[in-house]
Amino acid sequence: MALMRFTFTEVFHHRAYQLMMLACLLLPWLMLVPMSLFLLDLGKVLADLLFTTEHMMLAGFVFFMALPLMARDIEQKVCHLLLSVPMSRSTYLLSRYLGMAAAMLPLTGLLLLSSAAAFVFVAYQWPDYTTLDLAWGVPLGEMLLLLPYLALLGALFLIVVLASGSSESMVFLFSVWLLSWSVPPVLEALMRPEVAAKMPHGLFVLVQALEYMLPDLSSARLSLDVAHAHWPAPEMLLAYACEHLSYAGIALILAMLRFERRDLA
Amino acid sequence: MLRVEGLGKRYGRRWALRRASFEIRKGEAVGLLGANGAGKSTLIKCLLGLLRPSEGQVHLATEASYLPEQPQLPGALSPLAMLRFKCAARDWPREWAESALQASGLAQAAWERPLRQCSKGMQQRVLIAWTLCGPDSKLMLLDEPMSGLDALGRAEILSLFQQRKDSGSAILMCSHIVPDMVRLCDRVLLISGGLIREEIALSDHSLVEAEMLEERLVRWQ
Amino acid sequence: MALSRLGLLLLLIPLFVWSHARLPHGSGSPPAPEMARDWDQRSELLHGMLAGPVPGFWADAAILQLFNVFDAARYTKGELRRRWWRELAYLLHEALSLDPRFRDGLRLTEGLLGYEPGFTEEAVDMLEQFGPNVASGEYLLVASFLAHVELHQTERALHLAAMAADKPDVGSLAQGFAAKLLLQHHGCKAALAFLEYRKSRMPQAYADQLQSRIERMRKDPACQKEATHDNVRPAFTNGSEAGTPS
Repeated sequence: MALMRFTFTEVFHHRAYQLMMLACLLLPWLMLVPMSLFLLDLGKVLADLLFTTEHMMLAGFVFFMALPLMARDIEQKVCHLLLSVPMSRSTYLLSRYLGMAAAMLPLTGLLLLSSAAAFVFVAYQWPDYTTLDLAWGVPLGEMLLLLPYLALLGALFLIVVLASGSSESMVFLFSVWLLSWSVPPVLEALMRPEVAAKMPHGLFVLVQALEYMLPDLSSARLSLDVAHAHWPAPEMLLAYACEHLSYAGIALILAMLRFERRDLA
Repeated sequence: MLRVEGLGKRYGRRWALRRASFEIRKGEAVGLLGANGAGKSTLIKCLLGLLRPSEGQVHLATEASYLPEQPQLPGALSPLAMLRFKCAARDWPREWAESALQASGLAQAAWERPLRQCSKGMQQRVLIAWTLCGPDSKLMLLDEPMSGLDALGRAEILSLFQQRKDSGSAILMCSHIVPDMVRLCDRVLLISGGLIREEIALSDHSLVEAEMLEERLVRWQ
Repeated sequence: MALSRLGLLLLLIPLFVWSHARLPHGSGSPPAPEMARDWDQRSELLHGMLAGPVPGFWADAAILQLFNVFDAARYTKGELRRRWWRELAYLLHEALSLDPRFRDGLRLTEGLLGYEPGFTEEAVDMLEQFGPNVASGEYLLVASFLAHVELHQTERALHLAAMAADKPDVGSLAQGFAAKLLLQHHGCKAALAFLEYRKSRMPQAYADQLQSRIERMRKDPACQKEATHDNVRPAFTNGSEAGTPS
């Protein structure tokens, strides 16, 4: 717990993080400008813009705050200090993970509150072009979008303990992120019955395996449904949450197993 | 407090450390002297479990604190926050953090300043405070503790370690600065090519002993 | 030294402002398309990959880009105009394939593409494909109108009108248009069958308007004449599940 608090404090005192918090507060209101350029679906457009903002913020957090911090810990011997407290390597990794995950909450929370306020404003200003339901639906969607990034953070921990340094970690994490971003539509297309029927079985299995190995960032359908005020079924939400949290857990446990056996030179 | 038996570490086919055996008792300071790449840091990291030994055993019978060589400190945090974290992690009284900072000689004005704004010497004092923080009687593993300190600062820190030694702590220090080692240590382990070549007892902590150590070091190069 | 730096700074600032003002910076007019882009499965896959988890945002961006394209396309003629409109259609495909319920995309498809010669059929195709995704029947109704008036495809117009009339927000306009199409092309019996079918699927409280329309149609001399001859095959039956003409 102490290292979790320490990690949170460490991240919180970064100026970049404070700027991100400010951005989360202001961006929903700035997004009203591009939103007003549209004709009918103003609420949906604002929801799209906010979801995209959240993706950018959380990806920015993982790439520019979490990755450098973990890479520095291992490369620049900060983890030597922390482990000499003493604490087990698993406790160290878990606490670091929880601290960083906790640091994502204020970002999401501020974005969520500001978005809700912006939606209330839009619903009263342009009542014919949006619905007040989005004032709670979009924040709910934003909370759900946090989950893929908890999974990506788990993948980051696995990458950092496997990689030899920060550059390698950055390359691997970027590759994972890029694949997670762009591969699901391809996989979806490849797995259509008519395409799958023509594909060699081995390749089909490989494609399926790849889909399972990557963190599922493609919350595309969920974002679209929420933006159009169509609420996903509770069992779908449960599966969505379980998928991401279990992915994060698996990645973290694998990271711990590797970290326990790794030399910290 | 510490007993090491046949400790060794191999990277592939190359041995960075082999058959290291020694003992450190309560209130004793032992120096590890060797050229760059001799295996000093490898030995200390094996003692702490940061490196997995390829052979041998380590018996540690007490609390150990570690001062790594020039780590990058979390720049956004203050020295006090760092030390308080250590106290919180061990359920030690918060006041121990202040006492350790006080003892390290870090000016009080710098206690709450972000570490990125502290000079290298100040950061080294924070690391020393980190090592000192905790119960009086323990083993301190110091990897180049005087790095970044001026002559006056080194003298201060040496006398501080001396006090700790007198109050029952054991010290294992590796350093390139032979006179510092001579002033503090009771014994010196001369290490070269991953092997402990000699164990030299120091009696009068004089400059003559320092010269003698330097001669031996050159011989084992 | 400090003075010379200040002097240099004073010189460089106006130079920067002058040169910046003379370069095109997001003037809003995209470069004229070198060649027409056609929307196909590969484009769908490519844009899906680029959009990743934010297809809605990507669809919004396509619509914003479409405004620029339309601005540029309006005053051109000939082959260039065709290329601009091809580009506009591509952007509409992009927006709607990424977000099939995007009403702005549907509105622009019917409002812009639907009335550009050579693109009406494509617009009707798109409205037929994506119109059913939204709660409102207005896009299907417009598609039906375009199919009837611009493309002269009566059967298709009837099919689209019936789809529009099946939507929850169906207004008297959609029902009236569909009934009139049926009346013109399949006769009174088919039109009455359609209206009766609509009435049967509507709560009693909302059915009065339809009932009065049915009664008006029955009193129509053409209908009475048809009833006498009774030589027209009904084009629409209650048995049709999707409301399509048989």
